[in-house]
Amino acid sequence: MGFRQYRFALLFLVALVSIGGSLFACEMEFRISGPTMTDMRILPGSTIELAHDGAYTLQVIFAEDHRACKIPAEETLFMLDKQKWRVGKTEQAVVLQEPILWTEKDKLTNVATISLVATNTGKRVLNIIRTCSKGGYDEQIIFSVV
Amino acid sequence: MNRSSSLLSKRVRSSIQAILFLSALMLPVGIFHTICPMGGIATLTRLFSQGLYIPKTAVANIVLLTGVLITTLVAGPVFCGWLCPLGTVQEWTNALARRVKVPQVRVAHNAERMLKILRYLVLTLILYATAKSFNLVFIKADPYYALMHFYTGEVAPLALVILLTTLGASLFIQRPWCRWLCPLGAVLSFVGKFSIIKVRRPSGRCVSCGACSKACPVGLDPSAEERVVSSTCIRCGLCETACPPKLRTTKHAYSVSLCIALLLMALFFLAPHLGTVGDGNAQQESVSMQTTLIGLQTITGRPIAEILALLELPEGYDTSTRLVDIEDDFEQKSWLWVEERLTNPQKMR
Repeated sequence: MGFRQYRFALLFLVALVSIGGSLFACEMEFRISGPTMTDMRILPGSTIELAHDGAYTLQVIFAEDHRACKIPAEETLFMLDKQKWRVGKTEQAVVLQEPILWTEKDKLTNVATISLVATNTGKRVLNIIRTCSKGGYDEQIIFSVV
Repeated sequence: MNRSSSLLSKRVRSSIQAILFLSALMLPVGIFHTICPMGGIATLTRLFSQGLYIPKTAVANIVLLTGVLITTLVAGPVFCGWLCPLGTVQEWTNALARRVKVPQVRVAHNAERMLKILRYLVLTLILYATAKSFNLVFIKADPYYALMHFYTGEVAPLALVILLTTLGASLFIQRPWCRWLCPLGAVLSFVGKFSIIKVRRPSGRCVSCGACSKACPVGLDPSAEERVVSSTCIRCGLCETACPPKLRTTKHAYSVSLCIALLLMALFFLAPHLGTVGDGNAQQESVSMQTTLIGLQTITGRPIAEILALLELPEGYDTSTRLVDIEDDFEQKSWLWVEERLTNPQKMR
């Protein structure tokens, strides 16, 4: 391989490393901390076991993958069992303790820290929905309160 | 006459490439994601484990991926050679550079073999990162997406840098992204190795004029082999059409590739509509929690008064309210309640 070809190989290796690095910055990331877990990552669509009466902190990290997103982070819908997840709504088995507040981490990343208490046993589905014409986002986390 | 036939073949391919490129350029972002075969590969990581699609992908991705894979098994990666807009632009860039006599870099065989491994690494990285997050992870680095949406201001800088680097490299090398980094190309070239139809040399009559090798946009040397078995071959058919007419035994691969390209192009135009046609429940499916009351009137064709009555809402209620937001005014009318009302046809009458 000549010098010139080494240069090209190097160029493409740099591209490969850049691609690799960027792939792990996701659109939505969920992390939970509580009595039995610390900063545990939750895969969308998966079931997470919560202890009855346990208090947890769910962190939602939203990174815009389409830049110049016109839908603010605050318009993200949180639906628990197809009902809006509201503060102190005790009939919802996983009770939201405080209003969901988003903070801007950087220009394209927003973080919401959510406090919740698992009050009733059973399975509850939390849908996280962002609606837009560019595909949007609609994912769920299943809470299994035991 | 024969020369003009060869020129015609080239022009037919160029026209198909141009049509698909321009059509893809005009697609809205949301639809663009659903017609990406690579999105189909990424979403498989989740379909296998959870039976769900990753966000922004749909059944259209799977249909397209299936179509592309089947046609690749028949005739090799025709998608790469005839349809991929990024491949097309790299080809155009290189053709322009050659025309203005930009010196070309000839990559040694060993170097080519090593560099080809990179695209399998990119593919592995994408599949791993997707499986770890269930997000359309490649969007932030994808030059294919950057090419189609560079004008929207929505493309991540990294993707634009990779696109520009690719186009810059295309001035000196033919199709560098396709050959060394494309994750979809990695899959299709592997599947293409087992394709039924392969490009063949006009055995016995070949005078080794090198016309086919000069015409190859991925730097292969078809004159050196009886059958082109390299995974890099994108089945463009240009080697066949460049072969001196007296020697040419067939335009078999070119003709098949042309038919497949037309078939795939039709699939690309039809795929975005797959979710809404041929489905008896289409009307119900198009009602979501984001639908407004007035939108519901349009979808169902029912008068607004009837809809308000069905949902037990007072006359004069704001019809621009989204169904999900009704519970802001009437606590018991959650989306769960509204959906039950709407999905019960007895109550809709």
